Amino acid sequence: MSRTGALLLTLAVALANDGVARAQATLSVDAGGTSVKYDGFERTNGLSVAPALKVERGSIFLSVSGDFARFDGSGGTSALGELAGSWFSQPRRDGALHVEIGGTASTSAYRSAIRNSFLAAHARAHLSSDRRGGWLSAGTGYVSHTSTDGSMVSADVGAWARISSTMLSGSITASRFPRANPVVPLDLQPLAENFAQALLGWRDSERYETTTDLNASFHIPVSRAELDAVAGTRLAGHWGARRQWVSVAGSFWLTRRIAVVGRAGTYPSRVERGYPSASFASVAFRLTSRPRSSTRFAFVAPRSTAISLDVRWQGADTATLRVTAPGARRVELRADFTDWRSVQMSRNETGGWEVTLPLVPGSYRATLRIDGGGWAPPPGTQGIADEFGEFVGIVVIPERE
Amino acid sequence: MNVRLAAVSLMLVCLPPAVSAQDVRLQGRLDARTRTAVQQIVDSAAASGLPTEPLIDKALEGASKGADDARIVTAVRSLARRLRESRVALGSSANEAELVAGAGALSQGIASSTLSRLRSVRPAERITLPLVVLTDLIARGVPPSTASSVIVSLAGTVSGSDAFSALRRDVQQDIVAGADPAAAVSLRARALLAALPPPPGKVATTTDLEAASTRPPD
Repeated sequence: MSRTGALLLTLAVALANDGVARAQATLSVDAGGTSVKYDGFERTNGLSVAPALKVERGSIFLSVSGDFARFDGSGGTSALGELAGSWFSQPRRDGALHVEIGGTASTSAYRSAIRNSFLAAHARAHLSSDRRGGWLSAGTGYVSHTSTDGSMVSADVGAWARISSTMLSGSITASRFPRANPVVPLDLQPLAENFAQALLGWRDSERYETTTDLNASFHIPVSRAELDAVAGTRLAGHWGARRQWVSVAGSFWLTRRIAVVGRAGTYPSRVERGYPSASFASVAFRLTSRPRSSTRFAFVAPRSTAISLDVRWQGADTATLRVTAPGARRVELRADFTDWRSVQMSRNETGGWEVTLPLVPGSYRATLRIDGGGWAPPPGTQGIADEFGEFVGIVVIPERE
Repeated sequence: MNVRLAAVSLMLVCLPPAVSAQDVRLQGRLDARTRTAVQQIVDSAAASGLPTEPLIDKALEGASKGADDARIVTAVRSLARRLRESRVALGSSANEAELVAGAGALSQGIASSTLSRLRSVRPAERITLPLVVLTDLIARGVPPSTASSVIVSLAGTVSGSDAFSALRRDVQQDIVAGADPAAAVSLRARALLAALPPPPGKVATTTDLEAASTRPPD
């Protein structure tokens, strides 16, 4: 608990110190029907409501979410509540190292049989460019379950790549947690070799056990629709009836704030919480204060697109570049005339973004980045492939009239 | 004595420095070996009277994007070669911005003869923007032969740069709306030609542009 406390204290200090920008909140509610079949049990159908509030303030991300379901027959009810937060550092240099410190607190209950609570903190290092990246993470926490409680540790390593608009990611997660006495029969089968034990030296005991999971996912936005898929396998540890799992989710935005969301697939047993593996399907309407991707990756695409760029001379050799980017929280410019160092633009009184630089007329290669997303050609220019596997736009600084 | 002193002074002024100092901006952005290789290319360009700023920018761009050393040096060397080719095509009167824009056009597959034609139809005006728009159009999917012909014809017909800014903007809008890039360029160029008064002594018709846009590739 001391390690958890220290990490949470670090997070709290970071949250308190960060006052970069005004908070932006997104509220959404999913409401619909769901059908779940826990392995070894009859299928049960029900109705569910899942509200979520996500708040972004500068480099801080917070989310509060819940999921309440009422099942027919003897299915009873289930409830889940979760609070999660992360703080991201500014990169040391363009497209390089970001550090994330985060924490999660959650509690869930299924019927009156299973109750558990979970408190964890993690530190994660992200190494990324515009199109690919990876992360290394370590975390610790405390698990309280109906039958047991104790500390847990986890570590994961992952990578992501963006190909056109498709985002792919993969990760390996190793966890060590208190051995729970499952309320429902899990039919646990041990694997012969455990990567977590071999790599991290974590040993099973009467009280603790370890698992190693491999997960892969992709996200494709297509016009008004988004498609997500997740697949995984338990490489080591214990599994119930399923060693592999796969699920897909599709969202179609009917309006800017209303979407239909469908999900189906399977998920693995959560041994540490006493939940067996299951198959599921659900359909819901989503109401949101702002349309968003249904999947969060290490670095999400920017929510704003710049729509114009203009140049205004201020003196003989100084000009102001102005960008209109509604909804942006941060706009950065990188160009020949900045020596290819990232220069942060300032918000002006009209809500646009601008920066004043020493300039001479000419044609320059430039890129813009909005909200920490990928570098892209400035508005009004065509992306031209450069020699380094990226795209730039050519900005013409006209003669002073 | 005074004549001898003047002669020595003249020699000192005219002689290029044997070893130039490294650009301070490369310090800390490139390792020593890459810095030296880039600086050699820069010195060679300077000795030939080519602009060196774009070469430094290219090296810094590569460093900023995390490119490996060999790739950075290759990119800088390629740019130096294109700047040299651009100057041959555009002539010694071309300024730095034109040479850079010309090098950009060459990198997109434009023939150096097209740069020369553009210069010949606009000998007294800067052609930076026409070259940039030409590069843009090809990157947007307009066939090089069509883009070249339209830009050369437009440059020989209208003065100033407003027409090229408008062409760039309008073609972008058309392509985003689903138009075929080649058709968008031809239609927009014809519309511009109809709307803008040609300079005295030059009369171009839409037929000229139509013929230009169907001219075989260089």
